[in-house]
Amino acid sequence: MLQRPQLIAAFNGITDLILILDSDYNIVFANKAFCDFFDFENVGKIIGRKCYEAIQNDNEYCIDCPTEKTLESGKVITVEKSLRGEILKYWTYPVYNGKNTIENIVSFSRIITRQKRIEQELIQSEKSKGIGQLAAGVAHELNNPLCAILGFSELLKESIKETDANYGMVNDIIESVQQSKKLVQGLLDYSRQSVTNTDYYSISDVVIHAISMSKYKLRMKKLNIDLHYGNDLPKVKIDMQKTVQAFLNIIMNSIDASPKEGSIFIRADRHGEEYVSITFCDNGCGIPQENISQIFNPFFTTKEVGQGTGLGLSIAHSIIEQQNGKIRVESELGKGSTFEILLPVEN
Amino acid sequence: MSDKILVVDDDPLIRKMLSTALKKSGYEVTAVEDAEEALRIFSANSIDLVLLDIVMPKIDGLELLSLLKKKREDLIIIMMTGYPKIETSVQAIKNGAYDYITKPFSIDEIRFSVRKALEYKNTLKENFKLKKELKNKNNSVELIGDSPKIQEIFRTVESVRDTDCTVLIEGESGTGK
Repeated sequence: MLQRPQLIAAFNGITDLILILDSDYNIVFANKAFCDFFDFENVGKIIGRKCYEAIQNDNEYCIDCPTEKTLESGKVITVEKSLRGEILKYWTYPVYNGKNTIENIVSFSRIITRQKRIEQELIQSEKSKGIGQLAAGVAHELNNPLCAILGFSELLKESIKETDANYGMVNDIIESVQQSKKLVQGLLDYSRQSVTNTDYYSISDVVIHAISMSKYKLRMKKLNIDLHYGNDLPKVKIDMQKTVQAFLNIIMNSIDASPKEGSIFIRADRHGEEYVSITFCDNGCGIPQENISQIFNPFFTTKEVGQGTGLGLSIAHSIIEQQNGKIRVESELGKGSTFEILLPVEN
Repeated sequence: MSDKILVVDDDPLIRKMLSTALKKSGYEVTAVEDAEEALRIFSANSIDLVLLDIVMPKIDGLELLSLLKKKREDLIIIMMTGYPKIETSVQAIKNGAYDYITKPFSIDEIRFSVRKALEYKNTLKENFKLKKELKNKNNSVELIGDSPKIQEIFRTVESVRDTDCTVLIEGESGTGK
């Protein structure tokens, strides 16, 4: 039989978080990983305290508390929770005494932030692949009828006078077709971000290119760009044109989100041995939490009708992915957003 | 005489639209729906320019482009497509297409491309003709003479030499006909 110190050492050896409560939410035991995660010096600081008081600094147990559910149902409950910037998966197990009542609850939790992120990236990439194929098909089928509509309405326009009552309507048709044409073009761009032309380029060249293409919009809003390059930035193997497009789309997005006379911070740094990271940070309106998971979806836009096609960020996403890079976003409502792109040095 | 244009597209509306637009600009237009029909029309008529859709059932535009080019190397062909891809545009130009236009195009765009292409064709033709004339001038006729009469004969010969017409030369016997 293992002795108590050995058992405690065994629990402390486990890198997942373990917490044991009595049926009244008092902490009976917590392992080292648990204490480390919540910055408790040692387990002695929390034993005997209510879990919600020690962890959440609250005087009542949390809404959706899995422990409560386990106490009620006697079943193992699994939940996912965001805490301290990480995503945790919880299991709460009932521990019965001899009289068949629950005496303790063992709460076991694992940090799954990384898996969760990879999972989301995978879902996103599968999703974009499917949408890409659909988009290509639709775009192709639409171009022929659009061509006929455009041609016939232009012929109609030629055959009537400017003073004709219908002249304006014909013009409206032509304008609508031009709009649709732009959209279909966007769809096609989205569907085939095939990277064809790769070579070694310095990231600063890509950034400068993208900035110079957004000069007009920057000037309109009197925005300042704060550029910073880390030391020893290696050249990266990329498709220059496509990558400029991706950066440009992100910068455009930052510009739209930024207040007048604000700043956009662009940083390029080495990220470990394998990656170069480029961050685009604005102090604009930020993205509501419920939208974060959708912003890379094609046609998702919060801009007014006719202002944006909702393809910019999805195109950027697919360009970066095609080059085995990563793109992610962090945002706080009212404070601004940060887009981080990682590009592999070797591709 | 107006230039003859052959339109090849499997979409009937595109054929109708292009025919109307180009006829209005004064061209003579024939529009067909597939490669087979196109080859038949091409053999029976003197076509100056072909507007050719790339994505077509059976024989596609790129293949037809090669077939037509084999029949007449200097034929002007403009490719059209609703599904622009870099690879196909490169292939089209390699196979000898004069231009590559993506749908949806405006009629101004297509008219401009057609006009430009025909101007190019006519310039080539004229250039060819002038070069030939110049060559003929240089190693002119193997007859020597200064008199106004023989100069007139040189000019007559020059003007009829490129035609297929039968020429009757008259004169007394012994004058060197």
